[in-house]
Amino acid sequence: MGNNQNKTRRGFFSQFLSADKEEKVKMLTPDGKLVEIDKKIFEAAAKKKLTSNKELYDWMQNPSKENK
Amino acid sequence: MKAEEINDPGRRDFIKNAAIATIATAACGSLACSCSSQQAAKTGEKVRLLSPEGEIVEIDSAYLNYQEHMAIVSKLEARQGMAGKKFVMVVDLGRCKNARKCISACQKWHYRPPETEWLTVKLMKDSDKAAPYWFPKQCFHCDNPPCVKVCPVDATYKRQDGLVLIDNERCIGCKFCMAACPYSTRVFNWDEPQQPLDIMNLKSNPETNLPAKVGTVEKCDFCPDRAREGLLPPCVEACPNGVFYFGDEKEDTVSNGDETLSFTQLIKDRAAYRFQEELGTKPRVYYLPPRDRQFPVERGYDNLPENIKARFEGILDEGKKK
Repeated sequence: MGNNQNKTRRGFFSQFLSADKEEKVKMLTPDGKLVEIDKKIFEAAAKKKLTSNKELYDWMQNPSKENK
Repeated sequence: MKAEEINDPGRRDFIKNAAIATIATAACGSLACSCSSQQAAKTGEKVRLLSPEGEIVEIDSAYLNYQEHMAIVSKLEARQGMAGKKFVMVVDLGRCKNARKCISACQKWHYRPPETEWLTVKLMKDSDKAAPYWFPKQCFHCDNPPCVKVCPVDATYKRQDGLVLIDNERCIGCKFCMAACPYSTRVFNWDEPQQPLDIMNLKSNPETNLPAKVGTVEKCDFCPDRAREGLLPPCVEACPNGVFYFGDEKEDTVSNGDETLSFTQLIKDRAAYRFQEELGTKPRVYYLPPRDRQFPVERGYDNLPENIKARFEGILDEGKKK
């Protein structure tokens, strides 16, 4: 009984209560700031497509680009 | 055994508490959802963010959570400077008695060793017959800065708020800027900087140049990190005689901590000048001529360490002989 806590009532309820915690994802803004967003929002917007080097270069707002 | 029974809640109590908590959480959750959906509706602005997996995702700006510890000034912000500001400094030479409080405050704020002076106090003498006077000098943050023009790697730059800063992550230590600066206000980090461990472990900040790096050039930065918070630089605050006025030319106000004055009125009334104006560098530091001096120049020797006193010996002795 003790080892198999998920099958007890207490285990079931505690699992249910802890499920409400929001998971966060750290992301980077084009000007180099770290931000956190809700994982659900990220997953809804993500297209699971890896960014190419060219796209990454165009995305970033790097001051050194202005001189080129 | 009895004590255990009292402390251990029964199943019935536990289920009851869990049920109450569930209802409360569900109610709060629905409230939070409605709030966040309202927030999202308010800003239609999309921000393109890079995920740790290397994917660029468009997210509504309402969902971004800028953490306090993450709110470090980005390189772009550091390069651009503060919009709508034009920082300026006025130095009242009639009030300076070489107390050197400005220097020690600067060194403490920037974690610099005593031998590195971003701000120095010189003993100036305009002619043989004129009396010498104390002259604080730091980077003038020129509007036409020769140092910026000669930097081969774009490490030193001029911002829209008037500050000239150095990105010590880009600096290659060529010292071209030191040679180009006609005021010799830049210093070179020859040795490995001895800074506290918590500073050495900081993420590099492009505005404060902390942590310092060996083999790079440094200078006075007008403390932009303090200016962002609306605070005066430590040299201004530490001066016991109110020598330094710091402020914003666009707001037309300068303050030395005790009094706040109109910048244009002050430089007009007191016939302010800029050091070596003829060079065309357009410095952002103005000097009020040393009239009506509050202290005799000899007071600048009070409690001065021997090694620093040696810097000025020639000038004062020469004056005494004549």
